[in-house]
This record gives sequence, structure tokens and C-alpha cells, in this order.
Amino acid sequence: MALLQIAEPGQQELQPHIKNIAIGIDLGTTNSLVASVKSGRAVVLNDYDDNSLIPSIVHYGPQEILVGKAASAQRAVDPENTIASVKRFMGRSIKDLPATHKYPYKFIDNSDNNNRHDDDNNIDNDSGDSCANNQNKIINIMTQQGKKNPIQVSADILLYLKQIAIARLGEEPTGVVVTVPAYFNDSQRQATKQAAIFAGLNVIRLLNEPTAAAIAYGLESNNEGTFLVYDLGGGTFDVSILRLNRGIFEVVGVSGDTYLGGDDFDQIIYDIIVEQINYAPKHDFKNSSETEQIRQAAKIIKEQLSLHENVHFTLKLDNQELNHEFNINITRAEFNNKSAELVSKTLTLIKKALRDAKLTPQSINEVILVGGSTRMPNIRQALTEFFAKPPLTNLDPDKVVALGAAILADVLVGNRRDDWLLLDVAPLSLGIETMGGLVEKIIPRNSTIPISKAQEFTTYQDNQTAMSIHIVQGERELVADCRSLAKFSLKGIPPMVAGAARIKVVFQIDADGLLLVSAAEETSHTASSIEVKPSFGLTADEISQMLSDSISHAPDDMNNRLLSEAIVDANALIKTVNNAIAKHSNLLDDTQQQQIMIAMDKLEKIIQKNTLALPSEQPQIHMPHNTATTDKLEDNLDIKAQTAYIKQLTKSLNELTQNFAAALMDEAVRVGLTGQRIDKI
Amino acid sequence: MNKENELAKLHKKLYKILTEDAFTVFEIPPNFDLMSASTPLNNKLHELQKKFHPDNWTSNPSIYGLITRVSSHINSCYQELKNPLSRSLLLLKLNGFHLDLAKNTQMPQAFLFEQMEFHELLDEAANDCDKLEQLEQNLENKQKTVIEELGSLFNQKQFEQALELTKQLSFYQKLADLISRQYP
Repeated sequence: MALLQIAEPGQQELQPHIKNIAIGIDLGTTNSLVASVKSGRAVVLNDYDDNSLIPSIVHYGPQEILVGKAASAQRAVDPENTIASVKRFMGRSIKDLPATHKYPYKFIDNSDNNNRHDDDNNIDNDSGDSCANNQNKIINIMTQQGKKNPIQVSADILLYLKQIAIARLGEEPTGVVVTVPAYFNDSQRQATKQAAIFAGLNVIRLLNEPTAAAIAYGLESNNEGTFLVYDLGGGTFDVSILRLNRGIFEVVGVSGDTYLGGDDFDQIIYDIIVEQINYAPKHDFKNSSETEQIRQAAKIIKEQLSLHENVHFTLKLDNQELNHEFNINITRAEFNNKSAELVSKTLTLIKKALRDAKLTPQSINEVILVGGSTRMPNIRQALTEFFAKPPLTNLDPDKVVALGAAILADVLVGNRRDDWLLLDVAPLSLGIETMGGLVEKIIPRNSTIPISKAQEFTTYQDNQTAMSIHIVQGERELVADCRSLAKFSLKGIPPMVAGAARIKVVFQIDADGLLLVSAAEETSHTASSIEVKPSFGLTADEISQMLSDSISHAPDDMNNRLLSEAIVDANALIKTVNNAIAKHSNLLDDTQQQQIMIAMDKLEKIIQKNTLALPSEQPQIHMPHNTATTDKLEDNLDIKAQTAYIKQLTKSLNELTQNFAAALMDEAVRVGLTGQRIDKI
Repeated sequence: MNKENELAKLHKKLYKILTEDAFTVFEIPPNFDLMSASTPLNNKLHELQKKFHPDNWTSNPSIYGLITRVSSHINSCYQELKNPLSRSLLLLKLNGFHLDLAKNTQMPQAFLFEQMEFHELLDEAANDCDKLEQLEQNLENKQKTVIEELGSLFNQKQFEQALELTKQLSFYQKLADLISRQYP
């Protein structure tokens, strides 16, 4: 401490950091990334093993929760408790899941007590309490650590990303932008935001993934024009068309499919493998680890096929019943042939987006690729043919979304005041149910957000005091074909003759793409109350339960934070001591200097073991470090001890340099700079 | 103090925008033909959103909600002006003519026959991109004629005729919506 205060005036490192820490998170189906803007450039923050792509996998062990690579390793061993691709479950119910997919999880059936279909089309009477959509309940998976829903699993991933960010940046992020597929509906967006809140993140914006990619590209190249973003994620496909013109980023149209993704291409290879090893599909692997082993092989083969025309693969299935090696041989031609239908499905959606925006393939200046699956040559070729120009590939398709999110986060927390603005759109039409189960559109899709629309409703019966409004999202004419978002019960309407009441309901979609509804009865000034029953997502009880659950996570988080703080303090001391020694080593004798050096070395080593500095930022701390991550688990469990140790070493270094500090002070007085320095204190 | 005064003034200004109709918000004369506007609609939208988009007000949490409403209103107004049908309905309303499209469905017989013909063609064209595009083109030409005619009717302040034609436009728009749903 003493040393810190007498450093040379004007030294930069003494200036407090007043910058807001903003991060962007790409919460992907397969992998997630966290990025931040450092010294004006967006960079991905790597994890504890220096990987930028963090598998979106959570393992619920008997004691611990593992996320990322460590969880991924558990997939083949303990698939039941290792949840992957949880994004596919967000804002969905069991009946939404495609029947073709087999999941190794123990789903908890919610529809046990009251399984009736709620399709009554009467919106004019008080059906507020009868619209509990049991079939639309949130998905729950039974794990070793109890019941987990997709929001909780996502929150665990986000918490891990947050910890990486804190470790990398040395500070807690003040604002976070989380990306979502453009085609995510309101329930899926709400679920994502809820997960971020459970992870203790301050979400300043939900950003559409393709928009994020366009921001990363557009602001880097500074090219004006029309971009088409082709975003093939693990589980979702999005097309967005954006225009960058005079500092305005305007999304002009989006299209997509939430059931189409890179995993579907894996499935094709999976099927080929199963066919080749002559595994009868009806053989229901009780131990789903075999399925998992084949699935992982399929992923590797898919990546290899992007590089080679022909891939040989030796598949070893470890199993008690059979322990065989299979020689798998797949050609790119066979794969291209079998996946042609998927590729053409994406082209159809591109055509739809172009048609909506009244554009032709020729009017697109650049095609931007997002998602690791866009490395497949068949996709690049199809796009090159369709647009008569090759897509842009200078940014990594796996990282571009996180980078764009970090840039927007940096802008929104107020770190930069560029003169540019993002105008995004609502991907899906918003409507309400009318008589006969039909949908009346209130806000059409591709409307620029935020947007609001007021709609007037009246009563159908004399003295009717309540009504319910059913809100749906989607493009189809029938309510049954659209996504049910919520039912609103309007209560407290003053008794009047039929048709006399005038209830004004305002539907608003905010800048996150989230729906807000408010209502008022216009003729009388009696306020109507509005009660929201989300069809998906969580009930109030579930939210409070989950909040109390998330508090049990908090100590973990707290410990990480204390560790970060200890490291920041220790680094500051080391820096000052180093500076002082460089300039005033004459004030120390050899023994003193050696003692200080040993103490510093000790402290630096322990910091090294616990810090994840950005290689580009602080080259003196190189990764991977020599102490190696032999046992990450132990390190994690020991976090409190590590913090205490760092603090202790910092304290002893401080004590050891006390005399040195005093000598420096004397020296300073002697040189006659006293006044100036005491002012500084 | 001064700062409070300014905030009060800003509040007043924002609430005022919320009550304004689309033509007023976009500062263009209430006319069906938008060519007379000094700045193109899209440029004006950008200009307004640069001022009122919530992203530019993140450091002012106290008025963030109000700003979101204003920004929403601007976007709704843009949509209302951009779409010929809603633009026409707004102009009629501003001139004291209320048209309830749900109730007012009396149409000339010739028009209804034409509509039926369109619907038959639509049934045939289902899932056929080429046929759908052709149908879309036909419909667009029809709409173009109606829009031009509406322009001159509004110029001559012949609101009753404009109202009749607006009804036709609403049929065309519904049809266009149906066609776009038919694409595979």
C-alpha cells in the first residue's frame, strides 16, 4: 500500500479504471462464447483451457456442476445427467420436441393430472382460470441434483461464462448483451432473459444473432450496403437481411427455421454410420452412451469431410456386450447427396426473406456466414451459385456473433458514442384470437422494433365484467397453428350494456423483442386489472423457487469474485514494486532485493495458477502455464484457500517492502518533490 | 432548477409526440401522395430514431420507458404511412370519414367477380412458385392502379369515392397476404 501511494506522479496505472465493463454472450446450442471490447477491439475471452468455444453442456454430478469441456467429457459416461443442446428446449414443452430425436434424459411428465386440450374459442367470457395449458408446461429433466428446467441449465452455462469473464477481465461485467436466434419467439426470448437474470447478469439487450454478426462485419469493414446473414447454428437456422446506410443498421427482413441446424447434418452422418456398422435401429440402446459415441464420431467425420473428399474412420464402441472396431468410410459425394435436401431447405428460406424484403439475389452486396456448420463446402458452393459471388469468410463464423454482441454491449453501456444506431425487427407476427379460432394480426412480422399497437375491444354481453384475450405469435391463420404466448384476463370492467365498454389494449414489443401488454377501460375511468398467464415459461411460484435455488449458487460466485479482487490487488503491488526496483534498486542491498524478488516470484506463480490474463494483453503471463491444469476440479474446490493464500503472500510482500517504501519516501523528500507527492496521498 | 426545467420540457415534448398522428410525427403534409414530402419517409424515420431510440437513452433510466413508447410510436407511424391502405384510412379519418373494414363489405359485383377469379387462380397456384409470382405481379399491377387513382381522389378531396376505393385496396391487400402464405 505504502508503495502504491508514492509512485511517480502522472503514472498511468494509478488512474482508476472508470470504464464500464461490457460483455457479449453468444449462448449457442452447441457452443457458447463470451467476448468483450478491449482497447477498442472486440476479442473473445477464452476459457480456463484457453479455448474460445465453450461447449454448451452442463453435467450434474453427485456433488458438483460441471460446465463446458469438463461436462462434455461426461457425455459418453453419464449422458442422463449431462445436458447438451439445452437451447432446443428453451421456451418449449415436451410436445414441441420432434419425435424423431431421441434424448437420453429423464423427462418429467407434467401432464399427469389434467390432460385436457384447452382450445375453447370463447374469448368473451371469463375463462381466466380455465386456461392452464398443462400440455404447454416447461420441460423438466430429472438429474442427480434434482429437477432442472432449461432455464436453470442455461443459467448454469451463463454463470460459467460470467466467471470466465470476471477471471479474464478482473472485474464483474456491468452490462451484458445476450444473443438469441432471430427466429426465437417471445417465450424463448423470455426464457433466455430469465436465465441470464438467474445467473446474476445485468442484461442490457437481447440481440438477434445474425444482427450481431452483421454488426461485427459491417463495423469492421465500414462498408455500406445490403448484407444477407446465413446463420446455421447447431439447432437453428436464421436468415437476416440488413442494410447499413449512413450510420443506421436496419434489419429489413428475417426468416428462419427453429428446427433446422448443424445437428441435422450430423444426424445424416450418424445414419450412414449406423447403416455401415449394420446396427439395427430398433436395437434400443439402454445405455445411450453408444449413441453418444456414434454421435461424437459423426461430428468429427463431418468436420473432416469439409477438408477431405473421403474420410476413413475407425469407430470403437466400448460396451460390455460388444467391443468391436468398425471401419467407417464416407465420401463427401455421399454426404452431399444425402444432405442436399437440407441445403435446399435453407435456400428456400433465403428466397422467402428476399421476397419479403422485395429484393433479388443480385441486390445483396455481401453474404455473411455464421455458425461452424457453414464451413461445409456444399453450403458455401450452394450460396456461391445462388448469389453468383462467394460469401465473406474473413471473420471466424464461430466467433462473429459473440464479437458483434460485445461491440453492441460496449456501445450500450456508454463506452463509445459512435454515431450509429441499430434498428432491428420483430421476426414473427403478433396476433390475437378472434371468433372461430382465427388469428387477427396486430403487429406484422418484420416490423421495426420497438413498436406498439393499440387495439380496442368491447363486451359481447350485458354487464360483462371480464374478458380474456389470447395472444399468439406466428404467420398462420388458425390459432391452433400459431404459438400461444399468453392469455390475459381483463377484470373489473364496469357493468354496461353489451358493446358499450371500450377497452383499449396496448401491445408493445420492446427493443429486446419482448412483449408487454397494458389495458385500460376508456369510457369509465375505472381501471381494469390485467392478469397475465404465460402459456410457456414459468409461473410466479416456479420463479420464486428458482430464485431461492440460485442463491445456493451465490457463494460460488462470491468466492470467484473475492479471488479476482485478491489477484487485482496483488498485481497492482507487483507492478509498483517492479517499477520501484527498476528505478531505485540503489536503495536496497542485495539480500533485501533477493528477499523481495523471491516473495514476488512466489506471488506471481500463485497468481499465474489462478489468473487467465489475455495473452495479448499481458505477455508476461503465458498460457498454458507450466503448473498446468492437472486437476481443475481441485483448483475450483480450493478457491477460498487460493484467495487466502494470495492475500497472505500479498501481505508479506507488502511488509517486506515497507522499509523500501520508507527509503523511497526519504529519497523523495531529499530530492525535494515533497509537496507534490504529499498532495497525491 | 435548470436541469429540472429541461427534464419537464422533455417530458412534455415526449408526451406530445405520443398524441400526434403519423403525418405530424413525420412532419409531412397530410397527403396520400408522399412524393410531395421533402425527405423520403425512410430517411425521416432514421432521423427521428436517432433522436428517440431507447438505445440512445440508456444512461437515463428514469425516462427509458417513456422513450421506448415514443420510439414505438414513431415506428408505428412509419408503418402506417408506408402502407397505402393504412395511410388512406388515416387520411379518411383525419377528414372525418370512418371506415370499419370489418362491417363495411358492400362491393360492386364486377369487383367481387374479379376477386373470385383471383381466389380460383390462387388455389391452382398453391406451392408453385412461378404461378404464385405471376399472380403476385398481376395483383401488384391492380393495386398500383388503385393507388394512383386514390392519389388523385385525395388531391381533389373526393373522400367518398376514396373510401370506396380504399375498400377495394383492403381486399387486394388481404389477397396479397394470402398469396405470400402459399409459397412453399
